[in-house]
Amino acid sequence: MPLNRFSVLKPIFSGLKPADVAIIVASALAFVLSAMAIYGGPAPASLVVSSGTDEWIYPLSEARTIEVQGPIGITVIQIKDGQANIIASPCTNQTCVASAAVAHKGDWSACLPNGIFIRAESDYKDSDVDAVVR
Amino acid sequence: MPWSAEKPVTPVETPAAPSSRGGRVRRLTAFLAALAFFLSTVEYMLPRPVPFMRLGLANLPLLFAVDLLPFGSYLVLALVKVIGMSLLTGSLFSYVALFSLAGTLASALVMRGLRKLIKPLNLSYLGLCVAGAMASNLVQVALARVFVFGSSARLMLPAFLGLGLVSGIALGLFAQAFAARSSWYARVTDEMNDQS
Repeated sequence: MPLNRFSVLKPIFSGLKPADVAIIVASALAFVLSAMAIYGGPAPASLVVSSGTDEWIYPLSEARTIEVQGPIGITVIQIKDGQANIIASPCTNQTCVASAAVAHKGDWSACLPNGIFIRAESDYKDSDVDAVVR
Repeated sequence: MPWSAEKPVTPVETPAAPSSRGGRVRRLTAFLAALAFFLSTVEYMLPRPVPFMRLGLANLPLLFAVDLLPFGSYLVLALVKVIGMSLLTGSLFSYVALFSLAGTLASALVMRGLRKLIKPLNLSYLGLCVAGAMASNLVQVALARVFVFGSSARLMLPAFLGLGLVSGIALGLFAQAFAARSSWYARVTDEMNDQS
């Protein structure tokens, strides 16, 4: 049997079942709704740094370097040109250092091994804030 | 015997399939577990276009096992997959391995549960795979919410759900095409359906 493009694709499309469609539609809906809830709204002004137990807020407009202590060491965060990056962390995979800058509403970056989470917020209101740096 | 070009290609000699069903189950479980180890290694070598993005190649054996293995062996396969993956990434005995364990167990149970409810006539590997990927990612975000990052973890939802959907569809389509064409898959399915 000649193996052409169509003979490879055919079993895929003929194999699509009703429950497959339902699961894919439900998953896509969950994704779209969560994205709308998180990414909608005004532009962010602050960077919230969370270490699991403590949270700090910094203005995104001022350049600075922040060092946060986590369970396995110090994570270094840099704010520059209105965006924030994790520039160093004591984890092995360095996923946090490679991830994109935090600048828009809903943007986040995290170092899972060191328990550090940073996010951009437009109007931050939360009762369990420990420090606001201006 | 002199080698000649006309000699037909003989398949690699494999031990004859055990005649009892228990033997066949153990053999297939061991094979799928080894496959999960191998695919974990392949996954580890692949560069990631987006941090946190994983294709989940090592879930392929688990996906096929939904229809092939009895429940006990299926859970063993899931555990071996987690241990193999954690050994390779060096996260065994760190709490990152707990995320892997929770994600894999959630996905394994959701896929098995769905198959219990909906037969292959109405649900293919594509739907199973997407549901498994979404369950795994949801549980990992929930764990991150409870144990590590607190309420900020909700921001991770869109990225994790979106990546779960994309990787689930990609892997599910592959699994579907593979199951439709593979003679190995056809043979193993026959062997496992044979109750003797």
